[in-house]
Amino acid sequence: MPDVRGLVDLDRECAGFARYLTGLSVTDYVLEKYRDAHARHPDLDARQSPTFDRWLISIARAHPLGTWLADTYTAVFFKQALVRRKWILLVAILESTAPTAELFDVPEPGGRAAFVVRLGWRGLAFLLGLGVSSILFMPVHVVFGAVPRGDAGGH
Amino acid sequence: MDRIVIVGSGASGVHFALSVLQKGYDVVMLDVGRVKPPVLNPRDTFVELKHSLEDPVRYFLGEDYEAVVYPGSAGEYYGFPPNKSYVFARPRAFVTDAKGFEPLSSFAQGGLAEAWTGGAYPLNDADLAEFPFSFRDLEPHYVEVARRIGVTGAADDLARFFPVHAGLMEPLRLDRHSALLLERYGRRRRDLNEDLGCYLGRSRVATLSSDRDDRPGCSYLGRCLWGCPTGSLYTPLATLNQCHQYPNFTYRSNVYVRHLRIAQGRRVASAVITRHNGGETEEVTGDRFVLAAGTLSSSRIYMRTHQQETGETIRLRGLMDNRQVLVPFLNLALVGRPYDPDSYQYHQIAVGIDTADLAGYVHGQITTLKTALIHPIVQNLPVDLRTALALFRSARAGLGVVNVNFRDTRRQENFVTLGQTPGGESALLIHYAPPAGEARAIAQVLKIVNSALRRLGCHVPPGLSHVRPMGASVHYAGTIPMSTTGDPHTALTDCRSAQYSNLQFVDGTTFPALPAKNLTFSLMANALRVAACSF
Repeated sequence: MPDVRGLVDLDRECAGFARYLTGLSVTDYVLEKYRDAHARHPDLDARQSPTFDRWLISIARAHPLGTWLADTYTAVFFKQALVRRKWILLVAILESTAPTAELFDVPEPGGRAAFVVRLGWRGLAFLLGLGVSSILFMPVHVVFGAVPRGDAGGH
Repeated sequence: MDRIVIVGSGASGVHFALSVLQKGYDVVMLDVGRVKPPVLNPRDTFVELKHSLEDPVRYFLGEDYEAVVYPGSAGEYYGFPPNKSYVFARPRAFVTDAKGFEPLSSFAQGGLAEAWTGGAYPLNDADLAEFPFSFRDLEPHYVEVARRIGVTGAADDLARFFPVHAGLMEPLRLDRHSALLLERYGRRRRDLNEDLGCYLGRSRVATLSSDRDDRPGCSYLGRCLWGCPTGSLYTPLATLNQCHQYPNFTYRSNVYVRHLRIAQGRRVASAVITRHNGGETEEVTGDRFVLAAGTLSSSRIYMRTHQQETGETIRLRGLMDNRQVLVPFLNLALVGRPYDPDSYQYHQIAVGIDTADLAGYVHGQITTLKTALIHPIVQNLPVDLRTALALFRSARAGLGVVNVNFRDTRRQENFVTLGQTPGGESALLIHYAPPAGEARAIAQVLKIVNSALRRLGCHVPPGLSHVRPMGASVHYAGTIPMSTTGDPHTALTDCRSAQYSNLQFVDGTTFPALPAKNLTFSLMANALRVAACSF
């Protein structure tokens, strides 16, 4: 018997995350592929994941503000978070099919000058979000036994 | 005429086969031979595919979403697309256990070059210093390979590193970003050449710029990364198909060569094969035998042969591969501009750096970002994913990566041997340690590359350069080197085994040094050289 409630939650999650990441509505095809990926990969199931991952997903699902805070936190301190894996999967799906792929093919309007301005205020917004999320999430992260670490890059 | 048994259908094997077929020899090719999946919608561009395919996500990400790159995937900026997974699928019998090395092998029809990026750079005399032949000996074979496969390029600043041989086709149409970089180089040439020893020019690529025989010229569909749908980008399957036209060619697929059986007089009598997923063994007899299975597989077959004959397990020393470092960059002039999807997707600009004693000649290829999947890239940006996606949209047209390749030399501490995994499975054991001073050499070269990119108007984000694991370049060579000493487990100058008089190698197994340039074109040329001097 398919877990109908689970599928509905997954659809809501997919739609909510897509709106947060891209501002786009998703098609039935995208929902179907998101569900399919979760069916094939049980490690994407939040119910099987560690406590902090489940908590982060619940925060991210609850409200776009929560999604944003989870996004800033995991970008620095928990790159392999389950919620981040879900987002990356969703981006991979969105970029592989029309019409959502078209978003990634087109630059934001305004050219280079607008890019620089957006870079500035987005950078500030990221730092603000990182600050707030660190205060809110890091203690919980520590309590649940994981040691948050900044992920260094390559050379 | 002798009957020649060839093991493997990769780039060197098929060109060797074609040459000896043309001379009238009977050829039997033994191959696992995994088959390429059918090409879908061959006339559609990359963008059109996302509309026209019934299940585009399956095409781009795989049935099992195996092409999704998640955080922690060894920091690679890209993975192989699902329709190329057949290139790397291994038979159960081929097990490796490696230290310091991440091996890739192919058992596909056409071999590893079914997934190559087409770089076709001839070695010059400096590269061939440790070889028993010079560029002049190899040149006619480079010309013949270029005639067979089609190689585009130009006589430009890189001619000092890559000889301009006959038969080069007109270069491909440049994408906007590559054109801009070359134009900037033209203005800053003296700076880069004199201050940095850095030279840019057109890549030499095995992709047709105009129709030739039954292959069309590139139509700029932007699908190169997912396999050229028209055959403009050469792969060895095209030459395998040409071999099939000869009545004296027998192709046996779905077979795995376990070892060779040695008869009296130290001659190979037969190849012992099984069906590739197990089963009864069979012997394929011949007069002469040629290993073209790639350095790892050819080495395994050779060692197993020796083990069967003498009971001795040997180590073949001197395994080489090119270290590669990926340097992402952003060309500020193209920020906010749309990118160019209908263009050739692989590298169109090559870089040659003369570092003298530091690292010798260092080779680079500049690939400007066009139709690659973006999720592996955005997840590596040091901001939240939503911001990364927004920034990426505007930065995409200006993004690129320099793939920096370093030469390698044979060293005794790097070897392959036969053994067992910790779980008790028979395996090819591989041990590799980088040379002393490698980290310093990489750091120094990256300073040169970063400085060159800055002079070309590009920003190199700190912390994003990525040293690829050893084994990633798949330019393996050197375990049974050409030598004039006649020592055991070496090869003569015609790549004949010093141990077994009717056994030859035409893959990288016998290369005594590994220059920084992409190897495949030289493997094909050497295979023709062997066919010319020994048959």
